[in-house]
Order: sequence, then structure tokens, then C-alpha cells
Amino acid sequence: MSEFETVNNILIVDDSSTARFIIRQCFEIAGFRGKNYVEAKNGLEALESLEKEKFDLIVTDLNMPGMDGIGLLSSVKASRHSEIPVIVITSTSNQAKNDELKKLGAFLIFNKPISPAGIHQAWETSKK
Amino acid sequence: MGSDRETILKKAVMDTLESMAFVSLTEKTTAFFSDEMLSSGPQRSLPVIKPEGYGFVISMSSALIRETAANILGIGPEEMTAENETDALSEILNTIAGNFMREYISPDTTYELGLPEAGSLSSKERLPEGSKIVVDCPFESETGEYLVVQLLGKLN
Amino acid sequence: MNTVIIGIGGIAVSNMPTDLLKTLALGSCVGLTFYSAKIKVAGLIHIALPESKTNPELAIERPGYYADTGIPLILKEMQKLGCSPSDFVIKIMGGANIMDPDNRFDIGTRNVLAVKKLLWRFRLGAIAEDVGGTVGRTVSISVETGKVLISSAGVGEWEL
Repeated sequence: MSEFETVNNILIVDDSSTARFIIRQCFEIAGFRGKNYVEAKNGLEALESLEKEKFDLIVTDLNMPGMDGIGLLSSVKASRHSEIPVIVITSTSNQAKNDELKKLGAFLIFNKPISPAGIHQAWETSKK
Repeated sequence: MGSDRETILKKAVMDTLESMAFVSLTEKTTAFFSDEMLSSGPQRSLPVIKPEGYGFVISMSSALIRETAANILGIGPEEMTAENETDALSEILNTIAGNFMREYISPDTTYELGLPEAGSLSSKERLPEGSKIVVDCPFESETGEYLVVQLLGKLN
Repeated sequence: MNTVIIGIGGIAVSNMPTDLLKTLALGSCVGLTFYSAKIKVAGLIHIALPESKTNPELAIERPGYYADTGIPLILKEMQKLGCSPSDFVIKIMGGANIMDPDNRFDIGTRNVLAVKKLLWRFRLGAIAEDVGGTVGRTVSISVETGKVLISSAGVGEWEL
């Protein structure tokens, strides 16, 4: 089974509809085509979605009104969903932030703007 | 230091517009635009929460934001809605600001951006106390439309 | 091994396992490779410029010359051999900025942007890229393996 076939249900969390569109299309091109995508506008909506259906991957922004990405990441890692990998896609990533996010359990971290090639290569590398 | 900020901001703008929207820009001088021109078109502003005292403003012609947003969403400009355009402009500004801050501040220090807001921070009533416009980055697109990104910073 | 060479504006698609599709001297031009590992079909296109409206007659004679005529055509040719877009991977190379006398036209960058924009509009994109720089590239793709090799004079050969 390829690295992409293990993921079928993906939750995308970002307050920007433009960002959610870009993330979904980049992931589809990167190898996650034909998957079930659910979108949420912030951490609270994401947690509600997590209670309604099973996800194999969460992709989240950090800077959102209501519950932000740090809040979501922390909540997920402290919950029964802790095994779900969480990818962070943010405009506030640097070395210091990445260290903080890794300690909180982030699986992968990308700077905006993302690209299909960046997603593809990072995912393949992570699964080796 | 001033020219470093300008160089970093210019690169952040050009890289973001190319990567997100496949739009190529040409740098222009400040003679290219006026406050009246910028106020007549779509604008978004974004404060920096940490470190304090910074902010960004983006101004784009209506035609350019329509073209840019349409490129991002992969649809024709005639299919765009005002909501699409506003959201795209906010996300572009957010990405530019993040790219600037990542290059400008020490990698050992985290930074926090605010949420994009309507309108401009450059009117006197809204400038954070003790700050001013420190960098103007005007650009022209291949179709002759303008895009200006301004950095607000602390008064020295 | 049967090498199929295409020139500027050329398009090749193949499901013959012994075929190697190749194009030489991508300068400011952009090359795209398409590959379906599921059914072992490969495609290669050598694009010179973004828009066919500058020379519609040439676009008819050599549709691969322009991004806006070449990309839809190669997608159609790939589909004729049984590929669907969800099956294939795309890689992009070329778009070097070869100086022109006036240094006014950034053709390489403009070509790359135009190609990416059009692919994006088709809900497609490259999962690997080797673009920009100042040197020309020669590109090949094997139908049997999908391996994409790039070479450049004075630099050597590498896999993308």
C-alpha cells in the first residue's frame, strides 16, 4: 500500500476559504486525490467535526479566531484522537515556532505558500 | 537596515504573488502611486501582535485582485465574487507578512500576526502610537495594474 | 531502447515499454513529463511560450509550442492511451533565464508561471520541479520506469 493510500479522510482547518481551497488542491495533486475532505473554519469547528466522523489526517492553520491552531493541536494530542497526524500550514513558521510545534506533537510543518511538490516530497520522506 | 527591510519585503511580495497566483510583478518607484489612488481600490491591513509596533497594508487595483483571486481559485474572472476577492486579498497579505517576518526577525524568536482587517492602517487615526509607514513597495503587473504593500514600523 | 526525440513545440506520448522520450536544450522553454505508473504511459512536451494568440497559425501547426494549446492536447493524448488525471504524476523542468540583449523579457520565469497557472486551472500540478537558473537542460523519461533524467552541459546528469 502506498504512503498515500493509508489516508482516506482529511480535515482541513483554516479561517480563510482561499487557504482551504489551496490546501485541498495541493494535497490532491500531491497524491491525496479521491479522498474525503471536510473543512472547518477554526479549532472549535474542527473538534466538532472530529466528534462526528473519523479522520486519518488533520491539516491546520495556526492563526484563527476562536480556537487557534495551537489550541487545536494541544486538544487533539490530549484526546482520544491523539494518534491522528496533524500537519500545520502557517505563515508564522520559523525555527523557534517549529520547535514549539514539534514539542506539541505536530507531524509536519509547512510555511505558506505551500506547493504540491513540497507536500509530496515531505510526505514521502516522512513515511520512509 | 532600512534597505534590508525594503529588499526583504519586495522579495516576500514577489515570491508570494508568483507562488500563490502565478502573477509576475515589476518593481516601481513611489512616484507610481498616491494615497488617493490606493484608497480608491481594495485594501486590507494586518497588525503584528508580536513584536509590537509593526503592521502591513496591501492595496491592489480591483482588476488585479480579480485576476489574482481567479488564478488562485482556477476560475474565470467573471465567476469571482466580492467575498472571494476579499478573502484572497487577506490571505495574500497574511502570507506576505509571514514571509517578511520570517526573514526579518531572528529565527530564535517567534512572531505572531493579527487577523487581516478591512481598510488601511495608514490613515492617521489608525496608525499605532509611535509608528509610521517605513517601507513602500509599489509594483505593476504585466497587465499594467498596481499593487502596493506598505510596512508600518516604530518611530526611531 | 528506442529514443523518441521531440523538438521545440513537440509532444510525445507512448505506452511502448522500450521507448525513451527525450527533448534537448530546454533553455527558457518549459518541459513537462507525465507518467502513469498504473498503466505505464509516459508523455513529454516542450513548450516555448505561454499564449497562442501571438501566432495562431503556428499553434495549429505545432500546438505544443504554446502552453495554452499544448497542455490540453497532451492531456487528451494521455487519456487516449487510457490515463486519467488522477493516475499520472507531472514534473516540470526548464524555464531558465537566458539573458536577452535588452534583458527586458524574463521569458523563462513567465513560461514557468504560465504553465503552472494552466495546470492549476486543470486541477493539476507538478510534484517535482527543476526550473530557473541560467543553463539549458536536456530531459528524458522512460516509459518502462517513469524515471526522469535531466542533464546539462558542464553540470552532469541527475534524476528528478
